Amino acid sequence: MIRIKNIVKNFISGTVVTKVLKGIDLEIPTGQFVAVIGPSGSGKSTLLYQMSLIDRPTNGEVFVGGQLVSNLNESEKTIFRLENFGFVFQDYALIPEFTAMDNAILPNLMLGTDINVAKKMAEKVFESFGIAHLATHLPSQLSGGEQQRVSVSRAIVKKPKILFADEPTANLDSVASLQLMKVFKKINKDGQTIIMVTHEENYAQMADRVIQIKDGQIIKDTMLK
Amino acid sequence: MKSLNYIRRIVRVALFVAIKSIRRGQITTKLVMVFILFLTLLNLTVVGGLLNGITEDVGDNIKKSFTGDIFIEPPSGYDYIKNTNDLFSRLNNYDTIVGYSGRLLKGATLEYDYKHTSGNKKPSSTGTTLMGINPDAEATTTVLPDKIVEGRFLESNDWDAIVLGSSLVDGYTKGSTGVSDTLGYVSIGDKVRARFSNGNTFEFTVVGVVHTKASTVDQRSFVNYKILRQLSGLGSNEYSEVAIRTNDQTAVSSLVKYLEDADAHTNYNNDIKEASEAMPKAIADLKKAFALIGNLVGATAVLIGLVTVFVIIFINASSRRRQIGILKAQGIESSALILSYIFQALFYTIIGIIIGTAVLFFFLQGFFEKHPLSLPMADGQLLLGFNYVTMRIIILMVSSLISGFIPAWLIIRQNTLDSILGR
Repeated sequence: MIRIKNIVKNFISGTVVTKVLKGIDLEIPTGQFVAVIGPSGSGKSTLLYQMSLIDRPTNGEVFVGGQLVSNLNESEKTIFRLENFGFVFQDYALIPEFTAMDNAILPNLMLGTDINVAKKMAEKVFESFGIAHLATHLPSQLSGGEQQRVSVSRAIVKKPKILFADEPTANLDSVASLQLMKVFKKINKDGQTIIMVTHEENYAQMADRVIQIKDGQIIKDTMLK
Repeated sequence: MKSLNYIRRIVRVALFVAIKSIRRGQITTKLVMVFILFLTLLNLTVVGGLLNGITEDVGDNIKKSFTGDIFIEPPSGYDYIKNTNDLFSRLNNYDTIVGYSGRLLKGATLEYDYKHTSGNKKPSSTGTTLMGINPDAEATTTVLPDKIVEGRFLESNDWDAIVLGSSLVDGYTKGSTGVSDTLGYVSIGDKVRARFSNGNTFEFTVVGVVHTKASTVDQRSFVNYKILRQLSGLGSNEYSEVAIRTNDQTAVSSLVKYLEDADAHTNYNNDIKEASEAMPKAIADLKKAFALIGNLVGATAVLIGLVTVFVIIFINASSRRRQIGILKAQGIESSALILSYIFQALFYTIIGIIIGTAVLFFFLQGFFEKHPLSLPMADGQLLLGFNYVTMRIIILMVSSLISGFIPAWLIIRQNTLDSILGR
């Protein structure tokens, strides 16, 4: 379970203070698939970065499994992210010199998993996503949809407590987007907590819960299932 | 304290990232890095190595043609070595001594072409030290007979023969001879006149010219001991210096100690020293100056190499700033990423060092052996001692480690989100 309490995020540029998040409280139970939607500049990605400890909130607290984690130092946050979170980015964010397999095994290597075990784990995920035959391909040799599936594989292969996805379908065509959403549904069915930021209403409707943000505040929180 | 397991994980991930980056990195970047580091090693070793070669050759020339392995001079305040009979007796009975040469020195002005001068025209003249030697003893001690460039060396039955140092005459030394006035172009068989401080003169016949590239030797003139003793008015055999040659270089210091102890026992405190201590001050200063120049050139080379590696790693890391941010977001620790850049820098350095070392030992050393730099005082070869090269390789490795670390650290320490968003 992840809980955030009174999260405030201000961006300061010279004397101008922009209030992006204005005191957000939220609790997401384990195993829930949550879609965060809102117009551009509403603060949905910023919220994701605060929850995932990639950014430091101006004010407020983040708890994961009851543990206050927003006060950890940078190194501790990195380790915490490694052990508990997975990330999927809009532009896949694969390392171009690494093959699909190399990209996928790196987090497990950092966790101390034996390289052969890490490869077997990645192969298993690749097989379930239908990309096992692409393991030795470089990102430049893959389509957008394939790259995004590698990116999801990389994120979930280490079995994170929470999977964060920032506009994962933004660069994909409708077929690839739908395939990706099916992947998300599948892993969520296996118990994976997912927090996905999107601006596409139709994909948000595939989640268990939709949180709508506007001007840095939650304006609607809908349970779909 | 971080556990060993944690460190192992960091190193493993760093190696993984470094190897993949090296294997799939741009070939031109890789070649430039290796080439620059190869040049840095050459810059670091060749100039210093040549200067070392020159100073070594200067020292070697002096040792082989002048001081021998051990050099003895009179006690301070005396003109002649004390108790030479005892000294020679000890030397005759010492197993490892190949030869020794007792020499008598006397200052003189040499004149040439004096028979053809008249009126105000003065003959060519130059100041020199006449060195009275036993030619056979000198031949067993130094290489002087082998360094004759014109005519012949002295023979034991010569009486008025003289061998001139090449600096005293024209035509044998490139550039400055180190002597303000020379005798001019002197031929074998010509007569030269030695004028002494008491006004006495003696006419010698030039039988040879010796050229050793050791200025101390090339500015002297060599005559038979017997004649110089007579010209000096000495009633008994006296010696101004003794050069000793041994066949056991490892035992030189023990031989010096033996001779000093023997001297001390009889209260004769001749000045006994190894060749390196007997080297003229100018040569010792030259060695120091060359070492300093070598170090300065080396330091500049290291600085240039260091800055180059720094810039390349900085550009490399800057262009991957977003990837670095993403890796950090995935939980890859900064220390692993920094270490991966250090590994990459070290890898290119090691390749540069391997190529550089191969070029040094398999090409340049042989090249300078065949084509030494011909200088007035020595022949410059590339002298590459094991310690000398090893030290410079270590310096280059450490420099590369630093120049890999700093730019990677500067980029990787930036805020993760800023890196991802490119702001």
